[in-house]
Amino acid sequence: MGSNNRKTGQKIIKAAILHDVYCGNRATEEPPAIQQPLRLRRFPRVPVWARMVSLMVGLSLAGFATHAVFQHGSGVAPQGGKEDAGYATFGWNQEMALLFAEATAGLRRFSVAYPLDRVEIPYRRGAVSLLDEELPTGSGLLDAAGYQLLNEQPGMTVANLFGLGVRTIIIDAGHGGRDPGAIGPTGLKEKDITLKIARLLYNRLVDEPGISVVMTRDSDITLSLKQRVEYARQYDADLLVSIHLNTIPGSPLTVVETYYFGPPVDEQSVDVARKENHHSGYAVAEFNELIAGLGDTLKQQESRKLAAYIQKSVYGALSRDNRSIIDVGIRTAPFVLLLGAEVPSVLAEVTCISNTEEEARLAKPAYRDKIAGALERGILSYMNQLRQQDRRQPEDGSTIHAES
Amino acid sequence: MPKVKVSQQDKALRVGIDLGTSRSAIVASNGKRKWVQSLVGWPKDFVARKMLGDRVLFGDEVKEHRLSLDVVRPLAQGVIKSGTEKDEESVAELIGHLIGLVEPRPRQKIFAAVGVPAEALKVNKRAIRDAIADYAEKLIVVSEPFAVAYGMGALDNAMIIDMGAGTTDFCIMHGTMPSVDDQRSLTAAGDYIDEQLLGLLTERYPDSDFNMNIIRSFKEEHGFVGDALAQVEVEARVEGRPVVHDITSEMRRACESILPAIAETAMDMIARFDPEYQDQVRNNIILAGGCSQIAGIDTYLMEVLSEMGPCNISIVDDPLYAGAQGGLALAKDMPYEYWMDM
Repeated sequence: MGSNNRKTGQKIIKAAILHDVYCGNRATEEPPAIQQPLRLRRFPRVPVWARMVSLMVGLSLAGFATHAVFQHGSGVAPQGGKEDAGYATFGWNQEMALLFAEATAGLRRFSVAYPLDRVEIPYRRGAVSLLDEELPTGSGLLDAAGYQLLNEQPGMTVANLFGLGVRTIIIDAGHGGRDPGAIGPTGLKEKDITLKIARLLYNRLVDEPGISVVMTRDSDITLSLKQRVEYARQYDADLLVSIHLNTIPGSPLTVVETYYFGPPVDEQSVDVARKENHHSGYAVAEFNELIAGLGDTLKQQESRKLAAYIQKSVYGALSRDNRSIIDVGIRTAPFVLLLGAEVPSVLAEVTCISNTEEEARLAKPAYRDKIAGALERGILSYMNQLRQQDRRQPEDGSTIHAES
Repeated sequence: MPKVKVSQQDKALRVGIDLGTSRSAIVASNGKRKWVQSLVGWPKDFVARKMLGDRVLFGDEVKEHRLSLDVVRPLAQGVIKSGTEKDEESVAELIGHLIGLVEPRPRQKIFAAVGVPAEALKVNKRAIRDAIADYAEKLIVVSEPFAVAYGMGALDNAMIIDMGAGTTDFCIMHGTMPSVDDQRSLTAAGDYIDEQLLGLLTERYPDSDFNMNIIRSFKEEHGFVGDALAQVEVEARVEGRPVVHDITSEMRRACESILPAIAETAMDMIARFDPEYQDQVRNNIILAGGCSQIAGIDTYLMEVLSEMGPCNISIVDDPLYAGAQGGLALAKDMPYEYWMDM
C-alpha cells in the first residue's frame, strides 16, 4: 500500500515536472523580430554618360526655370495685361518645376539609394475598419475600449483575438507546364524545382496531426494564378504558401526573400511581381473586385507574421551552407496570387536560381529537402504561435470579452 | 490533381543527448548509444583539405589530425561564446554528427531532449535551440544535472552534483522543475584539476614536456583524493627519452584542489533548503559527471559534509551516459501533445 502511494506520488511529480519542462522550453520560442527589409540597390542599366547628360540637362533646366521666373516676375507688375502675364508666369513656373522634378527623379532612381523605409505596420488606429462595419459596437463584442486595446497592444491581432487556428494548408508550386518560370544558367527550370520542393514539403506536413495539406499541382501542368486561387477557395484553405525561386539576371547575388501582399516597397519588388503575375487569367472587372476586398486586416497581419517565420527559418537553414547568401527580409508586393487568396498567404522566393552555385545545389535532393524542412519549420512555428496566443488569456480580459 | 491526406502517426525517434564540455553522448529509443569527444575540427588550409577531404571531423579523429585542423571545443567554458560563429556552428555540427551515429531511418523525425551545462542554459538557451533546430524536428533543452536527476528518478529532495570538465553544476530537486535558486555552477571542475596538475608537474619536473592531453590522460587513469592506495608512476619524456616519474602527491593535491569549493557550495545550498527536508537531501546526494570517477571523492565529501549530520553520497553507475539516459527518459515520457506544441 505504502509503496503504491509512493508510486502514484512519483507519477504526479513526474507529470508536473514534464509540464514545467514543456512550459520552460516553449517560453524560449519567441516569435522572430520583424526586421526592416533590406533594400537591394538595383544597379543602373543606364550607362554613365547618359546619367551625366541627364544631370546636366536637369541642372540647366533648373537654372533656366529660376531665371525665367525671376525675369517674368520682375517684368509683370508695371504692364497692363496683368492677368495674361500672371498666367504666363504660373505656367512657366509649373512646367519648369515639373520638368525639373522629373529630371531629378530620374537621377535619384538610378544613382541614389533610397532611404530605408519600413514595411507597413498593421497595428495603426483604424486598422480594424472592416470589423467596424460588420460588428456594430452595440453588439457588445467589441466596444470602443476594445478597439483601443487592439490598436495599442502590439502583439494583438485579429486572429489572436478570435482564437483562429489552421486546419488546411495549400502548397503551391510556382509556375508549371507551359510556363517554365526562371531558367538557371545551365538550364534548370524553376517549375521543376518548385514542384520537387513542394512535394517534399507536402510529405513532411502530411504527417502532422490535425491539419490537411493540399497541393495546387502535383505534376508538370499549366495552372493560371486564377485556378490556383480557386483551389484555395475550394479546399477551404487557411494558409497558402507559394514556392518560387528568385532570379537576378546578370548578378551573382543569392537572396532569400518572402513576400506578402501589399503596396510595393521598391521597383525591384514590382519587377518580381510582374514576373510572377504572368498568365494571371484575371479579367479587369474581376481584378477590380479583388482590389475592393483588400482592406482585409486579418489577412495582412497574419500573412506578415507567417512571412516573417518562413523567412527566418529558410534564411537560417540556407545561410549555414552559403555564407554569401543575403537576407532580404519580408517584403510587400502586389502579387495577384496573394491578393486573390482570402486567407493568410505568402510567396517565398527561397533562393536564386540565377546563381550558378546555387543552381548546382538545387539539383541535389538533399538541398531541396533542406529547403522543404525550413519551410515546414516556418509554417509550424507560425501555427504554434497562433495556438499559444490562443491559450494565453488576457490579464485583464474584461475589456475584450463579450458582455453576454 | 491535389491530394488530401491526414495522418496521426508517431514514428519519431526519441533521443537523449548529453552535450558535455569534454564528452558528448547520445542514447536513442532504437537502442543505440554512442559517445564522442566534444571536439570539432575543420581542415585548416588547402593541404589539410587535400589530405582529409572537405569535411568536418569529430572526436578522436580530431585528436589524431589536430595539427592540420582548426579545432573548436564547443561550450568550452560551459557556454556558447556569443559572437563567435564557429562556436554555434560547432554545436550544430556535433549534434548532427551524434544523431547520425544512432542511425535514424531515412527521413525519420527526431524528437530530442538535450542536456547542456547549467551555465549555458542560463546564458544562451536560445542560441542552443537555434543551433540544434536543423537536426531535430522537436526539441527540448534542459540543464545537465536535471537530466541526470530525471533519469535516476531522483525527483524529490535530492541533490545532484554534476562534476564535468568545464563546470561543476549543483541542482536540488524538490518535486518541481528546479528554479534558478536551486541550481549553481562552479568552475572548479575537471579542467581546473588539469591546470593545477600541469602547474605542479612542470614545477617539479621542469625538464619534462607535458601538454593538456597527456595531463588529462594521467588524471583519468590515476586520479584520486584522500590517502594514496598505491604509488602513481607515469612515463614522461625528457629530451625525447622516456623517464618514469612519481606524481603521487601532485595528483592528490591537484584533485583535492576543487573539493573545498564544492563541499562549501553543497553545504550552503543544503543550509538554505527547507529545514524540514534537509536531512532527506543530505542522505540523497548523487555525484555525476567525469570527475565523479576520481577515486575516493565520495568518501572525502561525505566526511566533510557529515559535520552537518549524517549523510549519504552515491555515484551514478555510468557517468558517461547518465545525462543522455536521463534525456531519453524525458523524451520518452514527454506527452505527444507537448512535443507537437514545441
